[in-house]
Amino acid sequence: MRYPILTVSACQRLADQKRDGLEPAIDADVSWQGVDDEVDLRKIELVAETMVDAVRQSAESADRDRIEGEYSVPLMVALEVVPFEVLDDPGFWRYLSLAYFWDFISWREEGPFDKGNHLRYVDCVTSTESVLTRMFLRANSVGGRDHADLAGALEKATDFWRSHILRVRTGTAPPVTRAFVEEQKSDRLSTGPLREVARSLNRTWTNIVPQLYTQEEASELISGIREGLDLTDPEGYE
Amino acid sequence: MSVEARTVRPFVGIESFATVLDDVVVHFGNETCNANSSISLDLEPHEYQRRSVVVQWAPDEESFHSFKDALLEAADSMRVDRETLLLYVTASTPYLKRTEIVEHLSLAKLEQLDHKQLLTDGRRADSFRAGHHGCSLNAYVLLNENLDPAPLRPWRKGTWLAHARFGLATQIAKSMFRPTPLDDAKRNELGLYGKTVRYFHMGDHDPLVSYDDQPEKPVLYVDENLLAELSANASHPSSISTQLQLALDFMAAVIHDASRREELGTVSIEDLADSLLGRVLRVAAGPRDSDRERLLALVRSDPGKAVARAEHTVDIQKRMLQTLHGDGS
Repeated sequence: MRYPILTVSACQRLADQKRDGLEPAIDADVSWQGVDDEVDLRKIELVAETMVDAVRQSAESADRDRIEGEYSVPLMVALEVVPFEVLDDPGFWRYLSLAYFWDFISWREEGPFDKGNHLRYVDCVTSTESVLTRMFLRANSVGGRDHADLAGALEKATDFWRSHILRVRTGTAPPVTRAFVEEQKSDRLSTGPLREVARSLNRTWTNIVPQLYTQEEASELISGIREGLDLTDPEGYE
Repeated sequence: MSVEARTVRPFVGIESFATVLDDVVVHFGNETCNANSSISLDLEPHEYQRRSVVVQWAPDEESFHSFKDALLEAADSMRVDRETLLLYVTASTPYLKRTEIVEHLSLAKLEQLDHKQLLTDGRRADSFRAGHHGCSLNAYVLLNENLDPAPLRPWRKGTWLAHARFGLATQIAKSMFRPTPLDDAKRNELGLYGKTVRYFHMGDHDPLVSYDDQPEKPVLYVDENLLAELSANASHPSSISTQLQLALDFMAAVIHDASRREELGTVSIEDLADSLLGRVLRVAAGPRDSDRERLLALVRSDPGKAVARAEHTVDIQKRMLQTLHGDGS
């Protein structure tokens, strides 16, 4: 399959220009990889338009992480037409980030963009940091379209997803992720106690292979960990 | 004072499993990866996607029978039903964090196991299509159901009794050092101070085992404003000097963390090949095994001097002097 990519250096130059309010032509920097049929980007373009429209209409106080979560599954579904070997190429994600999703990403990471720390959110070098790739990981971590509601189920949960799901082994086992999200949804822990549960869970993976767990077993595991820890929130913990 | 409570494997009664997977190899096309090591694949992504992947459980047919016997004897010595134990292989790719089960077989059905098992017939697992980032395979013998809990005995479903890892790394998957912006929210979350400029967080990452196989990577946090300035003035001598210093900080933190780990006393350069410390040693000492051996010995005996050796390699002095002389402004 033929697909478009951007190099890191082209991405940096173009992203700098876009952040400065310019509208550089991207096509001149795009190179094409692969052979045979060209990747069909129409569904991706449509979902990008929907996302950009949504954030234009969102309130200033909107929960941006939650909106990121809610759109992660539609994004993943739109990407189902793209072969995995293409998705493994960061250059393809860079192209998507700049060609279709710039407005969404710059809204989602408005603070870092304002300070000039925008590149890491679009260069897709680190999949857990760049916005599009981490959305894809988030949708996968809950098990995709059958569990779409969970990807955006938690309020203001940037750190939950980033530190306790996507960057650790928990995120590779959807039943465990779902159980963790469900527990946090029904009985929200503040930062400190949540970190204790996540740490205990991460230690569990030293001896245990999470992929073997069914939904019921994963729920028992998570609730067992929560019950076994002293989760009182010390003063000043959060 | 920070306290580390690291999980160890506290089990007894599973000694018979300790080496049972040591002779397993994985063939990736014509290249072979031994247990608990990694190979570096110099392949174009499209070539990677076409390679066959075969797990070979023992060197030859005769030893394959011995392998199966050893598994069954180990199961029996643990006094568990063979149905309870699985031979289990997963394939994981680091960039899109996909982990798939590519083989699983109850030890009760071990007679069905082939000496060489093709893992790429039928649907090709995503990890075997990830030509930009490669993958790792993990072979386990593990518990497939909960046993009655007992002290010092593995009982929880999913607990592995034997494990072997195989790393199939592509060239692109080699980067390790990338600062993360440190803002006030992150300072609060990490319990840092208002003017903290840099902070190294190792988390649960173990610098002595495979880097790619661990989802949690160490992070060097750097003040977001400083990072933006460095990025905006990337070629200025003071920026280069600061970037080198940050790289050196990262290497120093890895060296000091590794030096405190008991296992460091027993690992070799080969064991560290795909680990974070192995990469730091390569950067700090160069490609020659003898140089890296000497540096590893320094990490064990005098980590401060090992950091000094890394500083020698990075050669920050010239850039520091340029900065002080005001060159390049």
